[in-house]
Amino acid sequence: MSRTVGRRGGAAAVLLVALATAPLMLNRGDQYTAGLAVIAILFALSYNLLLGGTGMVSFGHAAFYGLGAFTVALVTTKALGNATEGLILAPVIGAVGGLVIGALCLRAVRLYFALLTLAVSQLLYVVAFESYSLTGGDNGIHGIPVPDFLNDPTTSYYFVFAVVAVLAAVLYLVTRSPFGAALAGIRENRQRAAFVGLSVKRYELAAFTIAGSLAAVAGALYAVYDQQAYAGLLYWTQSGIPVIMVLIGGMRTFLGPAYGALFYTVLASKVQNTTIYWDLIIGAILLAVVLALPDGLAGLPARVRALVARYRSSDDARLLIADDVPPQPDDAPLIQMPGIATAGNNAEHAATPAGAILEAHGLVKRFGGLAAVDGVDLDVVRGTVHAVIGPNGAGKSTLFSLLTGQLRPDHGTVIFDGADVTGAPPHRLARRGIGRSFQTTAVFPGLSVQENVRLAVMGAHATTRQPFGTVSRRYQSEVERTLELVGLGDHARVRAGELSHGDQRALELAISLAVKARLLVLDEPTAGMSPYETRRTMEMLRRVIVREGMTLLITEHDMEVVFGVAQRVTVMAEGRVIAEGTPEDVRADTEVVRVYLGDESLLAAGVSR
Amino acid sequence: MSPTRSTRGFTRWAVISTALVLGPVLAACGSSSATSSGPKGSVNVALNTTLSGSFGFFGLANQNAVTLAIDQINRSGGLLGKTVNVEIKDDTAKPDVASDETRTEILNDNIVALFGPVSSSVALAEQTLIGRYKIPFMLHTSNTDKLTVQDFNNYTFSVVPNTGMEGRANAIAAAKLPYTSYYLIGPDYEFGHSQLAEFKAELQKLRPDITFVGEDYPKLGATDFSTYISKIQAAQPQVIYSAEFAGDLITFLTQAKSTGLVGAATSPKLMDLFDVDTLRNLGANAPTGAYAYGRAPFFAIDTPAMRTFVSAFKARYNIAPSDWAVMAYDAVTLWADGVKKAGSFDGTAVSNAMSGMTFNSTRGPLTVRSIDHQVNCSEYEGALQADPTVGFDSFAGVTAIPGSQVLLTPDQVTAARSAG
Amino acid sequence: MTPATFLTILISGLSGAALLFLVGAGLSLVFGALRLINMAHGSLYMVGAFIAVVLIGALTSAFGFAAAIVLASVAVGALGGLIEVAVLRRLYKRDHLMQLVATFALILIIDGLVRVIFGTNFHRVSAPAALTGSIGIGNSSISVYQLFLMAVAGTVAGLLWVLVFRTRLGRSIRAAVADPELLRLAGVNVPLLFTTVFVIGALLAGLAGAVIAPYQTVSLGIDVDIVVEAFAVTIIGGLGSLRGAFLGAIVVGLVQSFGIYAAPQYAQAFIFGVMAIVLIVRPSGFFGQPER
Repeated sequence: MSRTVGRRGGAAAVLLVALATAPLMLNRGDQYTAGLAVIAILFALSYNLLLGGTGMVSFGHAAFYGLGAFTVALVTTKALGNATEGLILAPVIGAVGGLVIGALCLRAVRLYFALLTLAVSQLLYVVAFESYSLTGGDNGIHGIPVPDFLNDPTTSYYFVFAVVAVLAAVLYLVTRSPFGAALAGIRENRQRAAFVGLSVKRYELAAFTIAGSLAAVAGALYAVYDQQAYAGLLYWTQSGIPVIMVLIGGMRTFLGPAYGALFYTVLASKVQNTTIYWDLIIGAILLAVVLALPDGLAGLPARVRALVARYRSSDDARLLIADDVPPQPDDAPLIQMPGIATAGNNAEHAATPAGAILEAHGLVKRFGGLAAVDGVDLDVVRGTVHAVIGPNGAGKSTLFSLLTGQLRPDHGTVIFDGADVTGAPPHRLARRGIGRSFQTTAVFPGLSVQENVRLAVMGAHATTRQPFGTVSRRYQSEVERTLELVGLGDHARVRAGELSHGDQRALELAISLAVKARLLVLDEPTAGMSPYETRRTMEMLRRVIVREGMTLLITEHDMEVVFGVAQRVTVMAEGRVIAEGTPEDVRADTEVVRVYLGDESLLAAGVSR
Repeated sequence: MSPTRSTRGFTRWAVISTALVLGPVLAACGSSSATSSGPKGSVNVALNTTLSGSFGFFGLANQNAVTLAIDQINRSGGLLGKTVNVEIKDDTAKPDVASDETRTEILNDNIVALFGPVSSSVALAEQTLIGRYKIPFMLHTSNTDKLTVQDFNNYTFSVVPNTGMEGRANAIAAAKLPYTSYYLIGPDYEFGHSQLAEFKAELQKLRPDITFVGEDYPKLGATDFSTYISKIQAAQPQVIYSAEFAGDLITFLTQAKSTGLVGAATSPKLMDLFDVDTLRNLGANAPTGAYAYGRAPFFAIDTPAMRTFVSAFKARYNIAPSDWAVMAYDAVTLWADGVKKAGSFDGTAVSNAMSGMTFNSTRGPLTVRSIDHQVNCSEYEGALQADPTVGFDSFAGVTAIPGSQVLLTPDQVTAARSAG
Repeated sequence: MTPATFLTILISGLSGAALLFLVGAGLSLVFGALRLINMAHGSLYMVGAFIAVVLIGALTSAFGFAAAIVLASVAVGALGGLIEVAVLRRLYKRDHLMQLVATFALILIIDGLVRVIFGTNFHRVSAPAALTGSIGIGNSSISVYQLFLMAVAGTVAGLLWVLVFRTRLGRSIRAAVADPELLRLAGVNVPLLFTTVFVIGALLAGLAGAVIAPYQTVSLGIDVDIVVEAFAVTIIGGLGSLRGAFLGAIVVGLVQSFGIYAAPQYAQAFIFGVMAIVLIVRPSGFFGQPER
């Protein structure tokens, strides 16, 4: 890890030195182009805060560039201000624009968000184009007056360079802060981020605002450097340029976009106007990057190294697998969970409302004409394991979504720990102490195991609001303790996406622990696991629940798990509860048997005992 | 004593390594000097024009004409004894690309003249630069009058009738027609708005009895004029005066013909800009009988210089030169004359020499006014007729409205500059 | 506004809608079945227009016009197939962004190729005489070609309906639109299906370009103009729905034609405004699938 840092730091230093000494080595015309390249670097870095940093795909970033350029143009030509005032006002305008446009666009998600940014920025283009008296329409505004020192090519280059260098450094610190870590979490797994207590939309809006503000500075610098601003800067295909720069340079590292910006600007300057093949060339490069080099130029050294390593030996270059404990024979006895009642002790653990950590009353959720959940009551007693079972389509997942805030019920209430939390969004429930895992594992795959847990810890402590300060050793002891608890202590540095399925489940549990969940809602925790992994997972859950005093609400298809673990079972069918009680009660219920008629697992589970 | 193989090899190695070491150093020092010249015995000029997109044909005509003109100059001994090199670049109609190119050409290649802008936003961007670096700037396509009136600087020269001149000239021609209701239509950008406004003001002055029954500005590059056609039909004008040109004009004509707005016996008259490239493209589909105006149609101009130019252009490119080619050629002629008169390539000297000069263009003798460096070129008015000698429609009954009739007076120019 | 004018503007709107439907249906179909937003859809339309210009000019016989249109469409369909197999197949497992960017790269590549092959000038070709007449309505008139466009769009809509709702291929397409996971389970040859759908989409785009070529000038840049309008159509109607493309095209076509009549300067802005509102309020449009 530190070797990468050293290498990256070295590359950054080289880049800085090269840019700083460019005027000395280039002739005056190329020096001018170098200034444009530096401005493009800021534009690309601002875009990557959204793309690489937060996972937001915007196709309207050029609108902010244009806003910044026109701020300077209008301040100097219409408002009788000077260029410096324009430059100071630009980021403010950009931030306001980012807030307004972001609030508007973030009402849509993912793909629709991207299209919405395109529509909004194109709308702004039309307005700029038609407002002849304000913006000069298709002509634009030219001959922007600038202070004398900016008329010299060398001084203006250094001015632009200084501004961009400072802003880039600030942006770098922000990406390394807890706030930046939160953005990374949102990028890695948006849904999961909500479940560690991050109000995702607010963070995305903040990122959008910052990115817009920086892009506006880039536009303002352009207006000052080139002394013009025109409507075409906002046209939608201009928004494709930062995308190209970031992709070519690489979105996974901080400086990747900088390399991309340099590459694109220099190439465009040399090639674009001397040949009719420009579109073909840049299109081919972009396509090649997407197909073969997804991490861009910045990822090229790593790619090459990986290829070389693969050639060298097929054994050593295996991806790290966390789970290398030898498999147990399949007929080992089922894990018993001492301290938790098995079938037969039901009387002592009859649920009483007074001891309930979660209560649901009369929950209804309809989709179209279909009631997926049709009047469900549920009481989960503190410190117990409560299982919800039922055939496919019974409404179990919908019920869980209602309980954890992903869906709002049409009717009914949810009470957690005495407080009414009906309809509260996931991140707020997470902060109250409900942790959820999903049918598909939800970790932050690009982050290391300990970064995953650390993010959860920071979310729980609401530290992620801080945009400054480094993240790497924060809460380290808490992180390590949590990892030990789930048996991942040795894998702290492994990328979460490379863990085995069972280990990812363990990591999920670690994340839930880190957010101090008191109720753990698990959707089929052992789905897709081998018998060995199933046992291991249940063993880990036992350990954790007993030690931390958590409550567990699960849904499962594996009846061995249900009957071996649960103290209370709720049976659902067609959106309603058809039986509730101890595992024994439920198994004997004729209605349940009828519903499961033909389902061997229920009967088999009984037979094997 | 002839050098042996090994000596030659050594010499070559020595030369190469010296070049490798000294080259970058010299390049760094040499290019920061302000004297203008490329390799010894030559000078550089630049043609930045739009070679791509829907205006690509403008740039192509410019490229052909300027290349021909420069070649002719070089073949007859060059200019002031020096060969002229022309750098040709595509500005893609984007002002930022144009600025980057222009600045590089000025700073690295020490160009002594700039030709070629098509789009007015590009022209305005370049005008700021050439003003700062004092490079003669020749306008021969882009004709917004902002360039010579409000934003004028000493280094800007125009050999193309500007939007004001064109609008007013067309009004003079229209005033002679017996019609009283007009509908105005033009592309939604500076050129369209400006030219239509000038036309309307002048025509209203000349013929107070005329009513303007409608005015529309379809977006540049519009592909569907049918609603505009419906509006025009509803207004029932006697004349449609249009500033649509090139691709947009062709689209408009196709759709107007198919709805009977143009070409039917009961259609209103159409008056529009028909340049040679467009007429060539339309071929037999040109709306014969429509009133046409053009800036430099070769078939309407009979001077020895034009005849020579047309045959030279045809010999080289196999087609007759369009209006754009004619004006680009004239621009080079003017500049070359300015250089010869000034006896140097220095921007200020050449500009001062060109100001007030009369030169022999393909369109006859033209004078460069000192107040705005606009030449007193004519606008050509006529009606389209099939013309087998040319191969496409030409103008029947051509009149040339001379520049002197439509130029703003120097006082008007000064007033407009202080107001703007 | 007289009734005659109203009628002609209505027909203008509908003929505009006809073109938008042809372009939007292909885009919507591809998104619905492949979950891929093809930004280069407009480029395929442009290629269809350029090829049609050449073919219509070359095939001057009686059925030459129809043959030219068909050939141009088929050629673009084939091009689409090539693109799908060579490029897009590698992207289905990747996230939406990479797909968007790859198709954006295709816009550039196709633009470059057209530039090299056809040059940078604009092109024009005439429609056959039978289609160039006008039909008077009061003191207004409409063009026969507008009716022709509407007829082509209507026929294509009918054919598409039959394809999607009455054939086995259509059933697979509908399954793909509703639930991609089901496809594999149902034993459908998914790669072949995807290629087929993309080819159909490309064919529709090429057809749109071919039929519009005689009615306007064909030049570089018509690709990026039409693709944004196509987005608006498919967003409003709902991505993945043919009914939606039909309705969306009519909405956009009418808004444009009446918008130009009422407020010409901002007619362009209307479309983007409507698109933005739909994306905010009901992103799945009228008939689309809710985002999963």
